[in-house]
Amino acid sequence: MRRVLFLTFVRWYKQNNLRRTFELNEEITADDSNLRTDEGFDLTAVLNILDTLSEEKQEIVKLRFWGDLKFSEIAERLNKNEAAIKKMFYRTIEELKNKLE
Amino acid sequence: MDKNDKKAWNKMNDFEKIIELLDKDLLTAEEKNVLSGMIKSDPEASKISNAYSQLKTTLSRNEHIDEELMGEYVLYKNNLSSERLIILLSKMVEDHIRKCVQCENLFKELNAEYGAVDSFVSRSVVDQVKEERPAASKQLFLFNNISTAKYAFASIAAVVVLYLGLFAVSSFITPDYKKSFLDGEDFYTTRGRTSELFQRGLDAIDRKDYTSAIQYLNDDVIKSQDDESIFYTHFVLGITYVNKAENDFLGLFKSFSKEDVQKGIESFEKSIKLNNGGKFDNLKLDAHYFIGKSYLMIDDKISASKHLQLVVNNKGSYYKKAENLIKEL
Repeated sequence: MRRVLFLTFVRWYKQNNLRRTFELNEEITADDSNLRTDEGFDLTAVLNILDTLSEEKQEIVKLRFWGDLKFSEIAERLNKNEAAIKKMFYRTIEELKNKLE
Repeated sequence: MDKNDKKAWNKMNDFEKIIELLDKDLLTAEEKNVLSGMIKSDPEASKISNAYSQLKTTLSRNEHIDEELMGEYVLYKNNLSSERLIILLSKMVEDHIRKCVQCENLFKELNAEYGAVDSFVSRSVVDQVKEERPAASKQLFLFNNISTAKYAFASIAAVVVLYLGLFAVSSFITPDYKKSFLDGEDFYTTRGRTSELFQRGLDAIDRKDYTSAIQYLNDDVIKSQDDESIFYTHFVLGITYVNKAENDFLGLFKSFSKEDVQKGIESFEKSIKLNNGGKFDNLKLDAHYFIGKSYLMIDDKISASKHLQLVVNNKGSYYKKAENLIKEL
């Protein structure tokens, strides 16, 4: 119960922080529009969809973004082949895209 | 492999290439061109790029630790997490906290929050146990609760009495003319001004979002400076600046920011200067009335009375109010 309550708070806290950060970044990155095609960020949707991914996919994505690890480092820690990790990462992004649509 | 399979295979490789490029920290000019070209030429590629950006924005904290990861770390430190992810990253988090004040503060904040959650859950469990105590204990529990209620009631009563006292002092030392700038006057007639920025400004005023209103109205002034009706934007801008200038403490002891009031006065003066069409001459006197009131807000009674007297002499629509204000000075 402690874990659930606390992680619910952390999720709420993070969403509030992200909204603030995104509003700030929106102006800063406005002129980089040729590489950004954002049609609006539904943060809650992204986080909810992430929760539905398999544990392994979540781990790869989180190790890449949270831990800022290279694919070779992720492969080493998860005891897997680097090419397989990359492939799974790409597939996860595609899965996320399909679920967001 | 038939033609369709080959096409799908190529497309899949293209997507992988896009993600590979997006995932790189630094792109060469050539890579940027390739990426830009791929995104622009294929809507599916654009969606992949968008999904990647969303995921990265949601998860990546650049040089800092993600809040959810920090949450897991707090649980790990409190022996409540055995997730493989945090076991893999705990050393990295520890090293980072040691050298990053912002993340150290985040850890402290979340750890304190965990402490609150922990004590809340513990208390709930203790309360449940207490409910099962015998009748004699229940009586004592009730007695304790009555005492707590008495103290709570006494505290609320003290706060109410204190507030009423401050309200009386505030009312006594604040002159009537400072209590409200607008006195319920309606300035929403548009005087022929229909621009979108002007309307947005009015909407923002309606929401009491004076900062945004000033932004819209100033943009309107810049964009349509040669419009015949632009004087009205200046007029509303004046009112907005003075409203923004208003400060108080819990609704008491009203004061006004001199800088914003001065900007308000400048806007009213500009409105008078640009109102040359002859159709809205009465608005010039209204602007003088508000200039007079604005000066009163910053305690410049001499300047205020000059403008208010002008309204009285020329029988402006606010001449009665102007007359009363002069009597108050």
